[in-house]
Amino acid sequence: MTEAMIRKKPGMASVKDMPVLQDGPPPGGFAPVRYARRISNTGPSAMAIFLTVSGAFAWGMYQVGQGNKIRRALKEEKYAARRAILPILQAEEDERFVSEWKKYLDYEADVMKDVPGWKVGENVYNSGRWMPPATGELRPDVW
Amino acid sequence: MSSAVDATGNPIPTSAVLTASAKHIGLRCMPENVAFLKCKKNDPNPEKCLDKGRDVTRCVLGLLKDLHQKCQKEMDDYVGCMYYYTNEFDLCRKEQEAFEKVCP
Repeated sequence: MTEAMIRKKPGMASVKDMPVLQDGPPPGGFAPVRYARRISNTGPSAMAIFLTVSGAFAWGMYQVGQGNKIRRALKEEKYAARRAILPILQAEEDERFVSEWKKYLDYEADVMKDVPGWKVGENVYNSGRWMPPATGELRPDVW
Repeated sequence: MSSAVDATGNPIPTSAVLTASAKHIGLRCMPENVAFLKCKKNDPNPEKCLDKGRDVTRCVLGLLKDLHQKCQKEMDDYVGCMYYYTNEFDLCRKEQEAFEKVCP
């Protein structure tokens, strides 16, 4: 079925006289469309925003300070415990060192007993201060 | 290490035991500790400060034994917690409070 047979108008001479079939607006036209901007001027003012943000910042920094205080107290506790047990650990190490040093001096005297002029079992620096022995490993049995 | 106590019943001064009783050591052995540290500051030679070191050791070991006898269970709990958490005070608050309550 051609369009002419569907939409024909009685008395039309050719297809060119066919009634028009168009897509158009409804009668009366469409409803008006708003395209203008409408950004309201309400809401917090600049000063209000600034005060809120700086208040939040200040409160946050205060919390940071409080947290640091707590962490410092924890560290202080740890350091105080270490300070308290330092002397006994040092004393025990001193005892062990002294016995090991005596054994070492005896060994040295034994090894060097035939060397003339090897004065004494202990010869370290000349400054008068005591320095720990710099002979390689500190505790060969441990390492 | 499964217990803080050696064969004769004395606490072994391991790191866990020492840090657990560090507050008591700092309080009650302070004179010996300070004397030893002054001696060391004067002369770092270990042979010169042996006697003060022996004072310190005697004080601390005696204190550990005393604490262990007075509040054995709380001390064992606290030392066990210290051993588990590698001497971290903040993770053992419960055991610390129990220990402090029984042995001030």
